Amino acid sequence: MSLHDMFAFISAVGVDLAVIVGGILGAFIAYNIVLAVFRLCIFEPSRACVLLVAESMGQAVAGRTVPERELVGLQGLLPWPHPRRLAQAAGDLQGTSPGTLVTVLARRRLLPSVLVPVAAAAERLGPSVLQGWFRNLGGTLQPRRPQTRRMVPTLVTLYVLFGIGSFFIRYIEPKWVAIMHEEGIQTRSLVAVQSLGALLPWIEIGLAILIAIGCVAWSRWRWLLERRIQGGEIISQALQLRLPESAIAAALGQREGSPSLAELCASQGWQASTADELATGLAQARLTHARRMLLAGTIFEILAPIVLAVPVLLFGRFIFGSIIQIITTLGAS
Amino acid sequence: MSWFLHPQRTEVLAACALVTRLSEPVASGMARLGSTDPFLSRWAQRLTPALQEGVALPLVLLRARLISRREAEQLSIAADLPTALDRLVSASIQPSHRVWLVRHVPSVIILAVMLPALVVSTCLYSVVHAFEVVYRDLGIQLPAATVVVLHPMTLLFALVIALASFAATEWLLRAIAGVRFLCLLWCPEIERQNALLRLIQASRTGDNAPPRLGWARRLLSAVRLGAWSARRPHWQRHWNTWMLLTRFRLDRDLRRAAVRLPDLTARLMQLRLVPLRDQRPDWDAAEDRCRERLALAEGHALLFVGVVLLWSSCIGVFVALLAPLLKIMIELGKQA
Repeated sequence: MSLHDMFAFISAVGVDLAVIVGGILGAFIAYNIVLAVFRLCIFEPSRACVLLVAESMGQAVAGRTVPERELVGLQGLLPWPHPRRLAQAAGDLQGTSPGTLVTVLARRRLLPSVLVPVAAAAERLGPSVLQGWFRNLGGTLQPRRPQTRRMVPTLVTLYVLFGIGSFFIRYIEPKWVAIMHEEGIQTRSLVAVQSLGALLPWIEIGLAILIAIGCVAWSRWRWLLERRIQGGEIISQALQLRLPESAIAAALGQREGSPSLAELCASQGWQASTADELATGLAQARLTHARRMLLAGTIFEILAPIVLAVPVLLFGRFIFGSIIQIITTLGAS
Repeated sequence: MSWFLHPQRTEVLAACALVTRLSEPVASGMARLGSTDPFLSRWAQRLTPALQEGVALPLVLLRARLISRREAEQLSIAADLPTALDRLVSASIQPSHRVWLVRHVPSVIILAVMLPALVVSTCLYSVVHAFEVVYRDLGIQLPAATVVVLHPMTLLFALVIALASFAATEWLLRAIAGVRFLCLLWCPEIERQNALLRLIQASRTGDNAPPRLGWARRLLSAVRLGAWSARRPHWQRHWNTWMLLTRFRLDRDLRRAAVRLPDLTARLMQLRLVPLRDQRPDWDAAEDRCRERLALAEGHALLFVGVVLLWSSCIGVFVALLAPLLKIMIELGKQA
């Protein structure tokens, strides 16, 4: 090999390497931009954000630390766009824009919109109730794998299947068709694969749109499930602090004079006439909610692989069947 | 953590910290704890003779491979021994092995593809006589190269070579300054939290010593290519990693102000990464929060990695099964 050839080889390898590294970097940047834009489109804050903000604000309201400092400290822990919202909220609290803690958090989209009236009611009832409410919210959202994340393996598997199917239909299937035509072999499965090839891109796009819509809907709906429990939580906190029912009713935005505790609880969706009954109901509701979610997740995790196994098995059967058929025909000829 | 240190040192150091906090002689305290715990009983039997002879605790722990030489020096000069031991316990808690799985995912994928292929190939090879009969009946002459390629020992050799080259490439990439950031791309959240955890631990122990480099890293450092520097504190590398991955999340002025500070603790406090409790930094809370975030990131990454590994294994099995069939088809096609 001459020096010129060696130089050409090294430069070719260098260009290939640069293309690979550039491709990896580009894919990484594009992936993160897509995720960030997707997070921006979802109005509600993420579960991790609400958990961290609730924990920190619980500490801050208890007087142990300053809220602005805590919010700035969370910037490094949460993905974009949350750091910007946290910085804006910290700026608002430092006096650039007026408002209470809850209004600032709500304005900067650091609290779920369906929980904002509940948080405002807790704020009106005083710092002790607000601190307890933040603590409970943080405790409810223990750091664990969210339900939506359980769908990731299934979705990734689906897209891997689409990828393999597209590769097969684009590059391998035409050669098989040519061999089969040559040998005079006709299979119905090949016709089915050809028609599936035309549909595959549309199926992929449709599924991606469905996933995006599902994520946006779930980001709001899951907080709706929490609203009833958080409303009961505030009444329970206020009762522990021996606040009068009239004050609780006023904080919850009820204009009637002085409702009884049973009426107060009913307004938040609870059937209880004493503080103990409400506390028991709350504990029971949390347990039931956690059980239902666990059951739904478990059923999904069991069913999803079984459902996915069907196309995988059909695809494998088709490939092996076709190869055996070709071999048999070739052997016979 | 050094490979030289005992893997279960956290539990033993925690027991020592507990005993010293109770102001009890360590030898008798360890023996008392060991009476109810079989694991600690073995360690008590190992440590108490030297302690009863009057050997200092740091030296005994060093000889038992429970702490490093540098940690022994820190313990010897510590004014508050239980607190110093607590810090060591905190620093010795390692992330789970699943973090290792995610961080080295390219090598793990190679293993996931080739290991099932090797098993299938070995099974096929064990019934190779049946295949030979089929080939002979069909009149196929397999080239010698094909036989060698399908041999399980060849596949095993290929597996070892592929793994070794991937591991070596990854090590080299992680050891070269600048280039090492490429290795952070496939699990940035885990790398970010891992780096922050190391920074918090380094700040708690107050360890600002430069890292001890092996000959290869020293060589890379000498030619100004190394990601490790023998002149800077060992946490500098983790700081660079964390700063690179978190750069765009932080307020610019705050970030610049933090970088100007020479002390790691001051930097972390400046960035408000350590929560305050009663106007004092709460290091336990900061570390717990970081571990929670790391566990969460690990869980999320494993969802992807699990599927990728599963599919890699399936591809390995399919290729190993299809290879002989395709060979037969190609040979028959030529003959036909």
